Amino acid sequence: MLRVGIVDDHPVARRGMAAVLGDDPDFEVVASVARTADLPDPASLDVVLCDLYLGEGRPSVPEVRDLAARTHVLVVSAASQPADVLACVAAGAAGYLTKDSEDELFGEAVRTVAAGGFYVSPHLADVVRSAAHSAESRDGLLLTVREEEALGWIAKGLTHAQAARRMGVATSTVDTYIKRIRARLSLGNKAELVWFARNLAEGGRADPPAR
Amino acid sequence: MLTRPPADQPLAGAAARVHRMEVVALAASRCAALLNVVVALTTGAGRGEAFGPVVVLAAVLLAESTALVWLSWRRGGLSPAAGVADLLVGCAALAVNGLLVSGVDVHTWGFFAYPYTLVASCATGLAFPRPAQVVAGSLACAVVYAVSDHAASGQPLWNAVPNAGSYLGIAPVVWAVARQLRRLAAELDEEKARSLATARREAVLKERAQHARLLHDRVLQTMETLSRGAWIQDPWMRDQVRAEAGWVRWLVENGPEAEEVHDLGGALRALAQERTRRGLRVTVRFPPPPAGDFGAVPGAVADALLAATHEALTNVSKHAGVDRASVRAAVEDGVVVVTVVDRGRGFDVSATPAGIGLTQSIRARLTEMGGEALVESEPGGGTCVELRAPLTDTGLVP
Repeated sequence: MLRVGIVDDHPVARRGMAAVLGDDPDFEVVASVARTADLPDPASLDVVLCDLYLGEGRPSVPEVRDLAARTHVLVVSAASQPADVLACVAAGAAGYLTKDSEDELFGEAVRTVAAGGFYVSPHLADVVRSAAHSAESRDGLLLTVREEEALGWIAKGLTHAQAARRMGVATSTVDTYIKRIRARLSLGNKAELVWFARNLAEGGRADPPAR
Repeated sequence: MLTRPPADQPLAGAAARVHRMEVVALAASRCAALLNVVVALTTGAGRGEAFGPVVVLAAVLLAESTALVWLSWRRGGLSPAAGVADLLVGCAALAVNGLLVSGVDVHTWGFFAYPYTLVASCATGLAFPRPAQVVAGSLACAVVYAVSDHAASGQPLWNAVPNAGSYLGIAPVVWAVARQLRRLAAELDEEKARSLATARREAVLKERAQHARLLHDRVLQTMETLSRGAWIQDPWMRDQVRAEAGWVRWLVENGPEAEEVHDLGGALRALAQERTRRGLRVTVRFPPPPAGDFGAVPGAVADALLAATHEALTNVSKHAGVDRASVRAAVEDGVVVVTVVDRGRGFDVSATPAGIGLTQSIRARLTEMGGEALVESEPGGGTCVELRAPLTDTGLVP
């Protein structure tokens, strides 16, 4: 049984997500709160679903950074600015999902994130690809050809297994590609990611990061 | 050529300032011109029997100058007609002054119409829009002066050339400077108007974004939550709410203009909404621009892709055994790609007769556009239909 916490300032959305996850016998929603401060000890939770915008329209980057130091964070939102999503991934989020995703995707995402993986929703795949493309036009390849290919299939809505079949590799290989992308995005060069985000937000006019 | 706004339209901004400056310049030049007349009268010009007519002439010049300045101030500048009238008065003054001093051993100041018209010709530079008109006006003054001087003093004509030539140095210079100033003012005003319009547009967008966020943070999330799970018992009602939520999301993300189905993206959204109402929950996704911008997709290509998507979704409803499907469209490397994916029961592609998945007519329509349809599936592994068509019409049959 995975212990899940939900942080969202919208009470209806909070209750909706709790219901979706509550239907799955693998999950126990132990906290559903409006502010991260109201959560029980995050280290006691397997996954925290955190809203991308906790009031004021500012992305929850500091909250995600705080939580990610102690548990696995899955960022969720009703809609998003691509740069805000990337900023949260840079801050340590292990996945991103839109709130209107199918119930199965919620389950899949929470399971992936709880197991220490990186959950790339079709939406996030598109965001990472666009940012990488706009950064690559100045800086050469930032994703390998295979990583980019895997992301492309996921963006189209394929599962890892479907993508693997298309690429003629094992599902575990696709998992590895995606994990590597996460390593590059969050653990690797943060300046690079911030640059991704800025490139996406400003249409490729950003200055390269100081190295 | 710089055109003035009609007189009933008041000048504003930099153009108004340049106009005020022109009025001041005109008034100042006329004062300086009349000063010549005053000096001439007080230093004994026309001493003797001609003094009366000379005073009358001076009075006429004073009245005409005053009228001209007043007109310029009231009407937003001098019209060419006013310029012509002013030239006629000036030339007449030269001729009359020449006649009055004719034969008399005149004091140098006696022929005061010359310095007067010389300084007053600033008005010619302000009144006419075209350089040829300004030069013609100046030449007219020069010729009338030369003839009048020749007739009055009996000196040879060439003797008047240096003085006559001075006319050509005043009005054209005034014209050039005034034109430059007016042009600069117009540019400045245009620039100001542009930035004002931009600021207004930005304010509107900002307000819209605020409204969108409000819709989003409150209404949309509630609707989307209601449309899933068991909050609403009636499945038909649940699908209605979901479809409406999809519409609100579309509105929030794309603004009110995007309500109409004007490109492939909008058409796919509308299709998804229609299917959702009928029980197949279709999510539609586009990548961020430029890949998610469908403005460049030709209508025929969009229609063919839409028809194929239509059919692919119908197949999901009929065969997949699930009530969800996802559609994603993007423009990549000059190719429009629409992918329809479900996680349903799938089928064995190799064991199925050609043509299943998509009918021949749909495939033919795509092929005609230089496109193709790829169907990938396996039992228990869902189905992925990929529809591709080039943006350019190179594949089109002429």
